Amino acid sequence: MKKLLLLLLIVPVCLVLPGCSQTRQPEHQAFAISLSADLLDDGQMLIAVQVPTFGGEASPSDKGGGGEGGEGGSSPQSNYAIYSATGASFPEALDLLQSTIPNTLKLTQLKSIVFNDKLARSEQFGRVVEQMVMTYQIFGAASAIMCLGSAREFIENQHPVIGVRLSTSIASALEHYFLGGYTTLTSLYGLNASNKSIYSDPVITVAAVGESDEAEQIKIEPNLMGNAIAGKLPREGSNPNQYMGCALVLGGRVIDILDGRLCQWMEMLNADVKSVNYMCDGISVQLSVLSRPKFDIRLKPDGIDVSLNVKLLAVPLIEAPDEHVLREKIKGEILDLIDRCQAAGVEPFNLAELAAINFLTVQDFQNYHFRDKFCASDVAVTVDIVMDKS
Amino acid sequence: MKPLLSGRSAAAIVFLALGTRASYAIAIDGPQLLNAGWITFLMAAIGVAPLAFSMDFLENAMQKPAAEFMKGAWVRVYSVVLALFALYETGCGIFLLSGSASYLAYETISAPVMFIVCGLTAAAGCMIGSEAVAGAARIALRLFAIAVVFVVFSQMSSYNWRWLTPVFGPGLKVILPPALSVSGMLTGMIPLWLFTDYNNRYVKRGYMKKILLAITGYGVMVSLLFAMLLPAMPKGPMTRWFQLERLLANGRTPQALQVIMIPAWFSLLLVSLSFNMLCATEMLGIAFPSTKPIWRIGICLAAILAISFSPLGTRPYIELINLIRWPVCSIPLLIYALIIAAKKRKAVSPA
Repeated sequence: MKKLLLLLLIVPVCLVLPGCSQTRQPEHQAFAISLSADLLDDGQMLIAVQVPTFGGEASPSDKGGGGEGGEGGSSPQSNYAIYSATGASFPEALDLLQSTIPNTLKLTQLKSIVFNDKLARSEQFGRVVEQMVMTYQIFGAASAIMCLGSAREFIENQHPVIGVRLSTSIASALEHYFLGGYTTLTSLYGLNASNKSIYSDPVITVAAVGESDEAEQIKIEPNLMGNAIAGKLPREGSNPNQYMGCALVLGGRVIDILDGRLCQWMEMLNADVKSVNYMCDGISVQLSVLSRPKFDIRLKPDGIDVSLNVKLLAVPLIEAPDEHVLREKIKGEILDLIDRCQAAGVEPFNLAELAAINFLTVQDFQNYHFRDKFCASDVAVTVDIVMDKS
Repeated sequence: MKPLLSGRSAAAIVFLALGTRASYAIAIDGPQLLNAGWITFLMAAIGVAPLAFSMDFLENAMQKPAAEFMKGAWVRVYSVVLALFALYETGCGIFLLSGSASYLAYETISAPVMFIVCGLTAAAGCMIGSEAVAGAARIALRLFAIAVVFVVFSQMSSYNWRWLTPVFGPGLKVILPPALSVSGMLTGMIPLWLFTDYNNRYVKRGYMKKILLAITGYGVMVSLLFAMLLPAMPKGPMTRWFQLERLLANGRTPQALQVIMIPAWFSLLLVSLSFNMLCATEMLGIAFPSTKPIWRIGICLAAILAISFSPLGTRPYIELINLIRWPVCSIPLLIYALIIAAKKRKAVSPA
């Protein structure tokens, strides 16, 4: 009986221990769905969040909620508010943002995190990504995106639909672009993990708002998309945001940017995308990987031998292209991709994971300097195409 | 007499509590192991295997081995030592449990308050009784099994076995101390074996080897799954916070999946807490038989709160204390088993 009474006593004691804290209702929280980080010309960090405003548009009182250098408001087309703040570093700007918006900022529902290209190319980038990962309850699965131009402007211009679940339309859109092969899908956590790991280097999606001056400086070769890079796409629509291409990251910062065409091959070689639409001399074909592209590597003390075999099924949509021309074009583009990566000193093909099997300890593997040896190697590429003539 | 713990219950409780403890020691307290946690676990199991074999040997060789073993004044000291290690484990468990709860939802609640709530929960488990704790362990085991199935299947595409290489991760020099430390944690099976047998309420005999094998399978599986989910990060922060984040919110685990994982995680930690506190109170009962259980629980509660409030629950102390724990707890029992073996050999050998 005594035991029972003591046990019953524990329950009310536990109930009062947390104190008189308020209950937390959804409408009292600011659930951010997108976060942007811009490195400004004066070295300051501008961060902004896009927050759905439940039950209508953001109230006028939200304006000016960003504190020093901050601002707020809502877009007329969607029930979202943008809040921003500026600080000397990411934690400082975030702290300011959290302190000056009317509700408790929650980063657990983030779908995308957008960095401007100045930040992504800077030495600070890796550190900022790490700080974000270490930020309390930030959602690590949010996609990391590099924006050519202002990241804040980018999230201001996205108008995701509020569905049953909180803005899955952003995640859905990113997956849609990814499945076409023109972008990649890298989470914030995955980006940080790759930055800190001993294995291959990460790539992140490239985006832009409308025509971008920054896109002019990227080396691209026009193809079916015209200039296949975000910020230079020859298209029009109500949404100025563009996603195309991917950025190569080395040592925690962006080193080079690949256009959508090379990004497609990157995704195919890594077997992340199985099928893409392709143009060969004005003829449209659908290319599918018949078996996972096979890299063979042979490690030697002074270098490595790398060979790649790609087996593809080509399904012509209307008429069949010349098989030889198609094969040579594909081979040329794959070699172009590998050259670009080697020139940038980056190994994004998951080859380090293949090579690591040959070593007993991490230290041994690091001492081998696999990335450097890959970048100095000649890669032999063979492409086998099966033309579907049915 | 009603058994203090049935064989099934004892197996469930020791399997879950020690398997969980050793797994989180590797996943959270062993960032320097990189992705070689599974090898660490195997080495730890090898380190503690002689102990499991000894206990099974004694069970087969004698009618009441623990009661025989615990004769003499020195056993009080040994019981108190075992109780102290069990209390230390409970304190560390509280530290981690409150940290996990704060990380997930209760960030505004102060740590001391969380410690008290966790401590009271463990004490409540002890007061209700060992069979109740074991019952909770059996439920947690089922919950955990379901969670594992969901987790593995829904993350199947994220696993990459190549992240297990290079196979020895940071190298044997780095792996060995944590492996010995995990061996120390696995000596937590001694108090359970002792008090169940000492109280003449043991039902099933000679299954410590099987339990150790099961714990090893569990620990290796958890370490492998965890290691295949994310690449080793030698350049990453070596903090507990980062490791906890890696475990619970690693960017690969969908939020819906976390809903399944989190109750399993907390159930396992609570079972582990209650098990250790139960061992501590029972060991104190052997050392000081005249004390009332309620007093022993009270003393244990005060002790575990003191440990959790102190820096003893932090990583450097955990590894060091468990390194000491392994020889301190194992050697007396191993020597005793050797003596009994020698006696038996003498008895059967012709004069």
